[in-house]
Amino acid sequence: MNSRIESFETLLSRCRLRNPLPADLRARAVRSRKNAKEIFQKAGTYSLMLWLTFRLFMLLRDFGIKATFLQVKVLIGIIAVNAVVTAPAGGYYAVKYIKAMIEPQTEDAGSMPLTPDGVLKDEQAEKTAPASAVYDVGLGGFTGNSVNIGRVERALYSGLVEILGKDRAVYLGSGNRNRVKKIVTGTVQKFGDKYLITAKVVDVETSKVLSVISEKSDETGIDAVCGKIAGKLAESFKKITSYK
Amino acid sequence: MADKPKSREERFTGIYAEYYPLVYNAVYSKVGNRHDADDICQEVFLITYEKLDNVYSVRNWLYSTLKNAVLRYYERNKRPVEDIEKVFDDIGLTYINGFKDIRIIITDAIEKLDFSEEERLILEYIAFYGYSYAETGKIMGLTKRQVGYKYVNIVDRILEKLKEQGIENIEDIL
Repeated sequence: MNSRIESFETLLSRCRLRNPLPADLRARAVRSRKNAKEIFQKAGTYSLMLWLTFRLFMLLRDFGIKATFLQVKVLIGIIAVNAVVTAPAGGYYAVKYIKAMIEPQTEDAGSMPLTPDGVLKDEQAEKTAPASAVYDVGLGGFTGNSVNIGRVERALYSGLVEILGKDRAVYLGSGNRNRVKKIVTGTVQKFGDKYLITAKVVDVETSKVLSVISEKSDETGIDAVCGKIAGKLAESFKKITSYK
Repeated sequence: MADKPKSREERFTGIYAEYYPLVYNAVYSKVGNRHDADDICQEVFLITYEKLDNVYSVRNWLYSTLKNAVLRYYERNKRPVEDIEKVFDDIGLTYINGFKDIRIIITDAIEKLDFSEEERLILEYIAFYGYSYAETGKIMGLTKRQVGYKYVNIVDRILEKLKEQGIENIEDIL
């Protein structure tokens, strides 16, 4: 973020015009808006078509596509037609896509079923585990002003898996958020050419922040610093839970 | 929202997608409980959906509806409030000694610049509430880069306006 933006936001803070919400609350607010099903049901206008259209409408917005409701309705129709008339494989993926759209979302559902790099990752992370598997920690939802957020998440996740094992750590996503005991989330802030990576451990049941770890780095040292943070996170888990 | 949507669902989903986090922020700051904030937001948007034909200024409608919803919440929880306006007076506007005049100048500059609703929402989410470009992009249906570009332009316009009012360098007053 450039210096004049930082100065402007600092000024807003001093004037009490800036009241940033914690990252988990922001994420909750962004996530909760996807659940308008109850509103449509209470208003008596709910239908599967309306719900599918709404979900796809919101999904497209997540990808930076501001389609109109009518355009999304047309798209749903095209997907439905493809599911019927195309080859079984094509139809299978269309049905799978729609099924992912209408998959029930729990109160604490994580990110959208389909993400730029998240669908297969979620599936692969879980395909060796039974559906009832419970993970000690789920990682995801990092925010910030840096383009390296994805890189930080991947590095932290790799570090945690290396230390804790694949059966204990998982990438947060649709369907697994209610199967983790602790969540690791945080921020990646860029100040000039330096990065401040902050990771916090949140208890899913109580929503309490159990520990916070911050490290600074330059661009070349991000992976090493994430490894260090992952090590410290693992240590903090040992103190919080009864680990072997 | 400049363009007139064709159906109730179209108009509502646009409002819901772009304003939900803003309403949630305001409600949460008053009730302090996530689950209650969820319920109150649902209530606000259900009323908005049912009375959509009466909604002309989305921002004003949502603000008055959420204030009344919070008031009902206070009454249900035996926290009577005689004047709900006073409860909401401090959203982003608490007096701080030495910066009151600057705050007035900034809010005045923002009003005079006549931003589009999309620009106002981007400014509020990022500058006032600390949402990231990516989060704001998801809310607004824009890419992170688009949001970043628009936000920088918005801030530059505000800074230019502040220069017209005598604040050449904001670093000097920090």
